[in-house]
Amino acid sequence: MPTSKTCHVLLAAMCLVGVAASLALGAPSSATEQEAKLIAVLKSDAPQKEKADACRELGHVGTKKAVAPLAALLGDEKLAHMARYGLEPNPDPSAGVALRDALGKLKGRLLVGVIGSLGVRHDTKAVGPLTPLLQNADDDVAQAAARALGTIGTPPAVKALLDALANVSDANRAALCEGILRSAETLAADGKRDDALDIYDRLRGLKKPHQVRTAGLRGAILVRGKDGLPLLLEALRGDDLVLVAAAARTAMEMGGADVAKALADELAKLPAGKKILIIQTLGKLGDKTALPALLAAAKRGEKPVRLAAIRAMPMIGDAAAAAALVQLMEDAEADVAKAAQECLAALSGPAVDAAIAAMLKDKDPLVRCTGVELLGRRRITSAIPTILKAAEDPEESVRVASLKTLGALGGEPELQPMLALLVKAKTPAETQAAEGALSAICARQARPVAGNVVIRKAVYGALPDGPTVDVTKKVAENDALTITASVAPPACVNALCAAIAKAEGPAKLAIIRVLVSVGGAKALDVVRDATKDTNAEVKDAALRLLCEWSTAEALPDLERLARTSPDAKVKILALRGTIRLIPQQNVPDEKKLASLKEAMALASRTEEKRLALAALGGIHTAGALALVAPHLTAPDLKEEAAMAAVGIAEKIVQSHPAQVAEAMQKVPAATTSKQVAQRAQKLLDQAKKAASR
Amino acid sequence: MPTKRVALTRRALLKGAGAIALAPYVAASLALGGEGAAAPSNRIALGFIGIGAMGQGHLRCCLDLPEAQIVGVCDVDRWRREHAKAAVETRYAEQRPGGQYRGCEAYTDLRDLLARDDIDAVIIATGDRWHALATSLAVKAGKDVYCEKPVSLTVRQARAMVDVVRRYGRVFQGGLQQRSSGEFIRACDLVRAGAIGKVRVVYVNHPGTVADVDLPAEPVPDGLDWDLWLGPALWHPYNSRFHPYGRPPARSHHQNWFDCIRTRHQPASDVESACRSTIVSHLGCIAHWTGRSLAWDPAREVFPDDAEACRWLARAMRSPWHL
Repeated sequence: MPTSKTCHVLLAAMCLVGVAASLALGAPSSATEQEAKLIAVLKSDAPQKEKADACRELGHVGTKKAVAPLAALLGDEKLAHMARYGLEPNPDPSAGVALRDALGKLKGRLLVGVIGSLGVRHDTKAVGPLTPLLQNADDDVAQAAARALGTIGTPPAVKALLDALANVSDANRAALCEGILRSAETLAADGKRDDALDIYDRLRGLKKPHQVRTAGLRGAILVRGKDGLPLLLEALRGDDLVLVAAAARTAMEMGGADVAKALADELAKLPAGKKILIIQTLGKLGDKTALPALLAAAKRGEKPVRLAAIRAMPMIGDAAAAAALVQLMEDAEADVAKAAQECLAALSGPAVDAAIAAMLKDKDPLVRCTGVELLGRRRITSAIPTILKAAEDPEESVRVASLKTLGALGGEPELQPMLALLVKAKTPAETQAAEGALSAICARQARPVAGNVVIRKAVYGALPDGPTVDVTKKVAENDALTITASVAPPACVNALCAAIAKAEGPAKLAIIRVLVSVGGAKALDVVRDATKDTNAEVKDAALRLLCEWSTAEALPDLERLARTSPDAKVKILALRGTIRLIPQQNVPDEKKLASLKEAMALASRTEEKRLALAALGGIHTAGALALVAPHLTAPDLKEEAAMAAVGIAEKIVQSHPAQVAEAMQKVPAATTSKQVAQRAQKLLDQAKKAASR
Repeated sequence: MPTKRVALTRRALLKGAGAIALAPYVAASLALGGEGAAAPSNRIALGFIGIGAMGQGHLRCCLDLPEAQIVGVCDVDRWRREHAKAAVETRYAEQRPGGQYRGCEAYTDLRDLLARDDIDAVIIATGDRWHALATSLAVKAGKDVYCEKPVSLTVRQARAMVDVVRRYGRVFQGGLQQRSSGEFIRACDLVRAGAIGKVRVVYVNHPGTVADVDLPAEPVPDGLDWDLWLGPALWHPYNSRFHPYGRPPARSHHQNWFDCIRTRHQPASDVESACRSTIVSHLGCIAHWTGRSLAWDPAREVFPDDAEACRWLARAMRSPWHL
């Protein structure tokens, strides 16, 4: 790692950026020159840090030449580690010689370090000098020797380790076993199977430590391969829980059909607790051989076992489990039935799809319902024709479930059949389900269309009723952005409009509501016509829906209704809609002002006047302030007027300081909000300054 | 020295102490799947090694999990370990009728915590330099391990970790929490199912490496074992920028780990996958340090015909620490 070459970046706790720059001395032109420079540092009086850095670099570029200077530091308390840093990866045999030579000269930590490095280098010539260190009075040294000999793993190393096992102290046993295990792995990798097995069989018989027993069993089974299966089963059947768990894990390491079959055959003979462990192991193995045993375990017996067997089936992923799971969904035990349903949903493949589709022919409506829902969850669009038939099932629950599923899966081809189903709907629940499905289908058909959007106001927070913050200034206010909006394709709208002509009552209302969700000029025409319907319920609903229209194209209708509707409630709703839509128009502010002025005149209630004042607050002109200002003294409107006035004033204080000053002087008395009052005071100061220029 | 505990714990059951039937324990724990209150013998006795920012996060999480019982905390920083001990005992005391609980020991040296027979598993959230070594020590002590990422500092350390975990049949969960996240699992399933076609190229963004630093020596605070803090890493004198003493730092993935401790299955971020992911980071670092593109043989875990690059695969540990 470039170290002294780097600029000194302070290591903050989370700093992750490193930069490499050239040495102040200039980058060496070759590895040989670099090595020479680094060796020179080691031999100089350079500070410890520089020498440590040099050792590190020599670990990457050092040759035989670097060995002696590095070896000279093996006895240096402060630099011994870095000396080994440099020596360990050095490919020259003299590095090994140097480390071996150091064995007889060092003690304590320094000796432990050298021993470890000899192990890392797999130095076979170190076996002789390391062997006596297994009996060293310093436990750290003895343990390091055990690990190193294990890593080296030659037959003499193995012998030394095994010989030491009989008399090893408790403190050193784990390390000695670690060394023995490492050597066993080396023997096994070198094809010395019998030697490795001798070790593993010996270790798995130890009483402690338990993890060594585990390692011994694992090795004994893995080295034997298929021949290890009897040993695996013996452990599974035994009372030593450590070995039971080890057997299960080893089974997963082995994998394969033979292992799965052996475990599956054993399953019925095991007690419940072990059954669950093996069932889960079979699931993880994922071999289809295990399926018959799992199916048998799922059908009867203790509930936890049955549940485990059911949950293992999706892991095996065989569609043959589908039929059994369908049956289990009718189990008297509710948890079992639920688990079967969940697992059936998780199984994949066309055979499973077919098994689920077949559920729609079951005599039990609950099964038919579940089948429909599963088809939806699995998104089996090929089953749509079947689901359309199920939408005319004698049972309401099945019809409703089918309609909902069609809402999730259907597309444009399903519009006509869905409209026909809506018209035929026999109950309010069906009508609602069909309406929801049609809205969902139409929404999915929407395609992006480019359009210009002007941001008037932006809020951040928990909408609609939670705390919010106005962030309009942060989002560029009054900037025009091109944002793509979604529009339903004509085919959707045309299908809905055509269906209206033939529909009546609840169905007609439902289609109107779907049209409102779709939006657009044609949909608006239909809703407009519906406001003249001879059916009072349809007419009333259409009027209300018109008042809720979300785009400004409905404004003329709403203005008319606000002025002329004979129904007082509709008048109010229309006026509210009018006030809401006026600011959305793409017209000059003066036009909006005039419309809002008319709206205020029409408003007989405080609520609508407040809405109008709020809308005026979004028009940042002197004319708007002039309309708002008189209401700063009206008892029921002054609070709203104050907020609107301050909002307008903040935008026009520089251009109309006198008018702003006059209005802001009235705001503190009009509002109970400290923040609004403070804003007004600030504006007053700004207005005075602007006026004085 | 830690007090040896003699209690009918899950560990005692696992060791086969006495004629204790397996079925109720295994069936109950596995069937419960961690739901509801776990009986004391079914709880996983946890030890924490490293209680800095990440460790405290894990501690808070595990305190809320009924299947875990935190019985030991270890940190070389006295403030952190005593704070953690107090937090554990306060929380458990709240759950007891008498409002008292004194069952969490605090340790400076991880070897003392690991020497406890009654600890089933440990969460390692030390500095990176300790991850491979602490994992190795824990596994050899018979513990299951959850280890924060990066799980190792070198390629060779990563492979050594895989070997030791497999050797002793331990459960290892790497702290790659997204492996247990539903959204990421779903995304992986989609890719494996061909949702984006055949994957031909994978781009991994590597942010660069951390430079070594030369900070001036400061007095080691009373209560901080600086030598143990360093562990196997290169010696540096203490500086508060390395470790600000006395200040608090800042079903889940843990649930998945607990389930696997019971079933002995591979968790979502098993040692092999965690190490392979970490190795990718190491490869990026090595490419950065050598300043050139490198070819990697993932089966042999070497840079073929590139002895120079291979010398970056491992580094010596400061004595007396060894894997």
